[in-house]
Amino acid sequence: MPKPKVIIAKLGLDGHDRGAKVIARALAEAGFEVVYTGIRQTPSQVIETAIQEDAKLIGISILSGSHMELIGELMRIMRERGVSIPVLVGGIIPPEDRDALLKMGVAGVYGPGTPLREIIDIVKKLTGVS
Amino acid sequence: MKIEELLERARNWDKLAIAKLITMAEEGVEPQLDVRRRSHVIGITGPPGSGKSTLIYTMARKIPQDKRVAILTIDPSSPFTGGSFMGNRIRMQELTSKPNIYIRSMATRGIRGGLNYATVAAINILEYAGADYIFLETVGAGQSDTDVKYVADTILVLVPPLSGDEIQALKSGLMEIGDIYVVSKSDNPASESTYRDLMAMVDMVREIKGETWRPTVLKVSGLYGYGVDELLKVIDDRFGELMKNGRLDNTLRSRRTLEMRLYAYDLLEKSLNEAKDLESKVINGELSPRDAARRLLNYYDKPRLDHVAVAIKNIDEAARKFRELGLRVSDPIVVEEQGVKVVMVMLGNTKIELLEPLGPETTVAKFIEKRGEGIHHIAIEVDDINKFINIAKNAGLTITGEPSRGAEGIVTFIHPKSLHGILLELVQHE
Repeated sequence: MPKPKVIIAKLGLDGHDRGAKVIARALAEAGFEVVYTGIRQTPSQVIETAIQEDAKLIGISILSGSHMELIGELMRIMRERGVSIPVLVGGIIPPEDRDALLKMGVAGVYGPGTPLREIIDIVKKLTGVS
Repeated sequence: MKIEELLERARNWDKLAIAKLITMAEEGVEPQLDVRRRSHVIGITGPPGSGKSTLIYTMARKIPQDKRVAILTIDPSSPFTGGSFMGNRIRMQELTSKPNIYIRSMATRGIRGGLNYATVAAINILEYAGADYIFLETVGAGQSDTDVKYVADTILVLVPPLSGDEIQALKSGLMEIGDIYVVSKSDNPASESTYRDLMAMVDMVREIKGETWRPTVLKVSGLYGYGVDELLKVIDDRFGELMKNGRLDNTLRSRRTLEMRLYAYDLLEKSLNEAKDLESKVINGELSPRDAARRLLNYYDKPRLDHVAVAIKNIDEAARKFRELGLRVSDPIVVEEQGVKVVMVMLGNTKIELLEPLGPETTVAKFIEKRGEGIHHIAIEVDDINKFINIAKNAGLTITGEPSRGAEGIVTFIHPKSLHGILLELVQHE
């Protein structure tokens, strides 16, 4: 049985997707079915994708600095649409914004240099894979 | 959410409900769905990088918004980790928010690549949900990709420019199944010679096969949108024609049998994965690889137990008891020649045969009179009944008569007086 489906998305006007691709590929290697959305997604596109794919987790990559606005909107639309799956955020997130993101309901924030193993483990944990 | 509620919501094109139903199908739970209205199932195939996703995006964007469009896009699963990197959506993300469009990425999963049974189940669900168009994007190339022929009403084969040298090689695979051949990326000047090669191939095949539908060849650029309107028109015209000549039912039938075959592959893979004990027997030399494979599939070597027959006074009452035990029981059949009414109780790879005498003069009636109800005979299946009869005769056993045609094939009996009171039936299935 393959592991659950997860979405990896780039949010907002940010074309730097090397990191997102590495994460997506690493999760695929770990046995997940990973849908990569590509760059420049809006929050509602990402949520719509998660609904249509029946995904069990969303991973967001942001390097543009607009994470507070975009993640805020993402979490708001998720509540509106009744989608309750964990969201992980990765990218360039200043330490002082971390807690604010977690308070918004994000399940974890990961910056550059995080070992892939750690990402895989948290995704496994959040999707209920032993 | 209950499945009835999901189905009801899916009929109203509720994408969340559709998505949940497809996930359930992927996990092996598929409700029985009746076909309310046929969708036009369009298979899109062609080598990796030939522009399948981009073409689907351009087509779906041009289809009127009052039509329901479903897109199933297949990406390969790793045969080693089971994971999959699914990137086909990237080319279509703009469609994600359109209310009339539903997109789902599916991984090939399993041993064969190509379509799997969940893909067919997803098509059933989307058709039930009232999709007008279902675009099925295959992995691209490979022998297993021709399975799409059995689910799609229309098949688009994409051939990118500069694949001229490969045209020969393509002929015996993908090039047999196309209803519409699309020279993709026609913004490239090299597409002209690809177009000419395809026209020549299509003309030749048309003449050889003498088919009613003339495969069309079109030059299209998914990126710039050239030729897409024309392509959509050809697709719609074809659907009209299929509806008129009743061929839509043909694909529905072949879809059902394909689903059966693909589910069987699924089950096979599961039993292969669970066959660790057989694997170790192969490794330590206890079984040959072929014998182990046969055993996995319950192809036991013959002779094998075909059935055990029991003489019974009231067969209906016995059948009822076996049904109550949860066993599968056949309807009674009357075999005049043998003077019996017969009911089969199915058991894995063998069965119990219940016999009720038709009259007091029959052999089974006499058997019951003399010995009471109970086991009447044991039947074994043999490969070659005449050969086995010779072996039995050489062993000093008595055969009751020449082999004759019975309910299960060619049969004869070894007399119980020569075999410690056992009436042994020999069966050779036809």
